Amino acid sequence: MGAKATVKSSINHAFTYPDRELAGEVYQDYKALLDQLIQSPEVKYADYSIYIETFIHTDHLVYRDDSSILNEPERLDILNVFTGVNRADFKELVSNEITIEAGRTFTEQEINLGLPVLLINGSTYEYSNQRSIEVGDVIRFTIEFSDARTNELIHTEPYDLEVVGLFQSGPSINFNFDSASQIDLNLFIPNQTMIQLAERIEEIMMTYDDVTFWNNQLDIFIGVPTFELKNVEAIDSFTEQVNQLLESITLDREHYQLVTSADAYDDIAIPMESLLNTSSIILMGAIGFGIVMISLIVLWFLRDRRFELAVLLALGERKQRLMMQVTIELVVIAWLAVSGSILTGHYIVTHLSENMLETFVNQDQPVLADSDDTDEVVHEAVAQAEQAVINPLALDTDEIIASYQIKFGARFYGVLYSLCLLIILVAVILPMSYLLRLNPRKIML
Amino acid sequence: MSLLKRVWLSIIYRPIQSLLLFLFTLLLANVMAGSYTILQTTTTIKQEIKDQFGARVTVQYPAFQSSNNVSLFFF
Repeated sequence: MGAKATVKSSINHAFTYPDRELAGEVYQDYKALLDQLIQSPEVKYADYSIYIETFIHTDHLVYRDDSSILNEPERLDILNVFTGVNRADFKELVSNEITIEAGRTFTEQEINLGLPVLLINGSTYEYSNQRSIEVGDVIRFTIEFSDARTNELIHTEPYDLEVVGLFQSGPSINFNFDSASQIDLNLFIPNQTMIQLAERIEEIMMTYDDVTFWNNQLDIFIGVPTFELKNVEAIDSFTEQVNQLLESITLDREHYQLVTSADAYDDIAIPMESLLNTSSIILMGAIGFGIVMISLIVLWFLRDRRFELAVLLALGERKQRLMMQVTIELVVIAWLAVSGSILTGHYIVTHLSENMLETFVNQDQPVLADSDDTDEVVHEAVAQAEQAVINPLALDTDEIIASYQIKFGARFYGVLYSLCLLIILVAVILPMSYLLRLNPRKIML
Repeated sequence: MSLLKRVWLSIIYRPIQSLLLFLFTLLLANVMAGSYTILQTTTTIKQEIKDQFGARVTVQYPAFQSSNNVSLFFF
């Protein structure tokens, strides 16, 4: 499989949850579920992002002239660009989607306490007076609250974030885009900071009892979470754990979807499984056919040699020695043949395996989530989740080939020799029974 | 006459029989080598892909899914 990178599209909400009150509860349930799962002993790495959407902007930042962002707005709205992270080595950093160019990533303390800190892309943004952003700067944002009926601005609140690091998008991201991708626009802040900001906004909204706010004064999202387990075997017990935790959720339990890399693997494994089956049938068939054929050939030759055998027996040769003679003859010929097949077989085998590896390795990305789910939204969501589950940069072609080459060698020839020996030993059983019944007097008289 | 000498003479005095057996076993060994290679290669690739897929899991709430991998909630 080829390596593949995905680019996050800019955030457009397809739809919103119909009941906004319930949506808040679902968010709490969902977050509690994720936080519990992160504690699971099977989890090696877990991260998820909280996003909020509110009326927040800044007058201090602009896009850099050379940042290749088209349609520069007059005022830089920070809607949709705050991305929460749950740990210092968050998933964009681990997967090399971004790299820290200056400064540092968040500290544990900043993540846990939700301190007002920020990671920003210094080559996408600059200050409106053309000064570059530097580590240690404090950027001031403004949260706005308007009355939905009069459209009047009723409250503004400053919100300061300290730049602790500057990042750049990794090489895998901008592969065929002239303009900056979504990740270049992202402002990473700890999830806890995001939650505190949302709580602060909610608090302010509470103080204005008589005001009707816009529906989207405050929306909070959770991105598709990623759990990396310690090993493939842990998937089953983790699935069980998820199902147990889901038992305690009362609201819309059936809507939660668990997608594992095992599911995604199963989708692409079908052609491989059929190849495995075919080749083992061929191997078994060859062994069976070989036993029968060698048996018959040897029997046929023994019948031709019955006078020779009868003379030997008449001279007092024991039948065991004759059996041994026939078996050794066969083993010697087979040994020569297998040795000969190493010359031809080596050519066939290297050719075959190289071809196969290339076919597999150059296969296109698998088509995922091709279920007949009528609910398109669920369907699409599952597809996206499967994409999130497969680490797109992880499938390394060279690694596959390298690991293959080590395993191929002495063991292969050992198996070939012992299989042939086995065939010979089984195949001589029938001719031997013929030899046992041989009576020299009947043959020669 | 020792057993091994008799074996040797038996092989070389009947060249057609020996050659026939030799060719048949050669063919058989090649078929087995080929299918065994396919078996081994596929198993290796399978395991490798499985390992590289890793054990990644996600739990999500698709009813909130919008077009950008983000679930929407309201506080």
